[in-house]
Amino acid sequence: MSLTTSTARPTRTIDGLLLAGLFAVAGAVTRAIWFTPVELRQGLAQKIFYVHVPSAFIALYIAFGLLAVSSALYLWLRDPRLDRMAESAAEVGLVYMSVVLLTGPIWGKTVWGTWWTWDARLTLTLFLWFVVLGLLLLRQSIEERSMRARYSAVLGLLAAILVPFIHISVYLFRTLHPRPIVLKPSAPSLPGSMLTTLLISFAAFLLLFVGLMRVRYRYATERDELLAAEGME
Amino acid sequence: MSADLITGPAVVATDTPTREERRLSPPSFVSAAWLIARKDMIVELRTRTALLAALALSLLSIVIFNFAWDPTAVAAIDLAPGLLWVIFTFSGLLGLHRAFGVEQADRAMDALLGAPIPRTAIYAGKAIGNLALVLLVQLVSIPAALVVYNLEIARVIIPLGGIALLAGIGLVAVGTLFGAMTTSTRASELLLPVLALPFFVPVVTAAAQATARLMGGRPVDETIGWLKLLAAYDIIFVVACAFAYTVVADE
Amino acid sequence: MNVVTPANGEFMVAGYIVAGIVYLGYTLLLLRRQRALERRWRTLPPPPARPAAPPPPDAAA
Repeated sequence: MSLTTSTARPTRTIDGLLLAGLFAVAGAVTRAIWFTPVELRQGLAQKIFYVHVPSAFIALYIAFGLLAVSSALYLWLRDPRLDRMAESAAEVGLVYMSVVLLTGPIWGKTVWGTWWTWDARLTLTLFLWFVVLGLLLLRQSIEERSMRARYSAVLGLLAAILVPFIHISVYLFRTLHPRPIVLKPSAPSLPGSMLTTLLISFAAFLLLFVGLMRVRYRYATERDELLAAEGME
Repeated sequence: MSADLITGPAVVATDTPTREERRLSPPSFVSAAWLIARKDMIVELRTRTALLAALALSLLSIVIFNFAWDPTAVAAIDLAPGLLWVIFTFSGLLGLHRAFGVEQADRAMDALLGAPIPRTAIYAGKAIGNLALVLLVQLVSIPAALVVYNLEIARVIIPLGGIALLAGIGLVAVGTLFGAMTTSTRASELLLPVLALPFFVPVVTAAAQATARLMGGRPVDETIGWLKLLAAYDIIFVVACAFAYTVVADE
Repeated sequence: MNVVTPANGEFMVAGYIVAGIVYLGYTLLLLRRQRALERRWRTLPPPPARPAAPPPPDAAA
């Protein structure tokens, strides 16, 4: 990989995609709060749903999926770009997971009456939160780039293998410990206007995710180039 | 004639390797793994630091918890299963962390990696050594817990031993790999539990649930489901971690 | 049938504010790290001038 020249130095423009994502989210939130009907049984608090559900989907399927796939591919191809993708997906994914874990109980308190029940999806998110945090801490404690990439990829892959076991454990656990009868927060049949808001929110948070990933990935690339340049001095 | 005195009798080509050839060829997977496991166990039995630390932690925890709860509110039989396996996890972690400290001195790991044996044999050897340590601690801790909490011993002790074996394999499969990964990092004592504990959850859950059913005299089939989960976990993670170790040890 | 919709607007507000803090906070963190990186680029000394390539050895010494 050739040494960078001054043309590769980072430009100071603010990333357009990220900006678009932020505006999209602002728009979606506006629509959710002011232009979507209030749910009859749950009240205003139900509107957290429009942040919680898209964030959960993106965190668990997209961010973690990216992490798992790029980890596996890195072990096979050893391309540093895959490692940067993994580190970006891990960090941005952790952010999205944090939102899920914070908004879930706030909403849950109004629906379940308690801050936490061992709800299957929330529990899985909690576990993945710890695993991804561990992955980021591991990365932070290894200086050498190739070793860091290898170890991180191994952990990412093992985390993916762990997921079904957590699923099964929680499922077996819950069938023996029935939770209180609650309102089903995410009714499959949403009235039209609410469904539209949900889809708009999903698109907005997805756009934000892509914007954040792009900035994070670019940062990783430039940081690695800087370290290579500093190493050459 | 005189040539024989210098070079020794001519080696006759046969199918069975001579003593000489056996001594010089690299060990097989099984013997390599066993050699490493034996070395670790001998070192540990001589110094006994990891063993005693893990044992002390385990026994002290059992005793301390006795004072931490109101026996009139919660029966021992409800508390003990969970307690047993949580303590197992933390004492196991302590033992695992110490077990890897052994190779740090004089960069002994490099010598091990330079030897002509497959990486998976190193992993297997280390894991077996760790398993022996964990099981030894459990050999003392489980009866101690049953006694301290006044639970019946005779009926449950053998099945509990079986659960301990299955849980130990799962713990050691993941713990050996993560131990190897974290041993050379900063804050390794904190990093190992942080990384490993989420992976231990299915093990602890299955072991505790199976134990609870066992002690409660429930029919066997309820326990079997959890044991199958444990066995599946063991198989999958032993294979995955053995493979992962070849990547990790690829210095 | 009359269903009383619970008055829990404050939960909604709390939820959105918490989410906003996390997302905006992370965005700002990213930008701050980017800026710090750019500063390090600027303070990097220019690469040392490559010494002139030695002339090819003459055929006849």
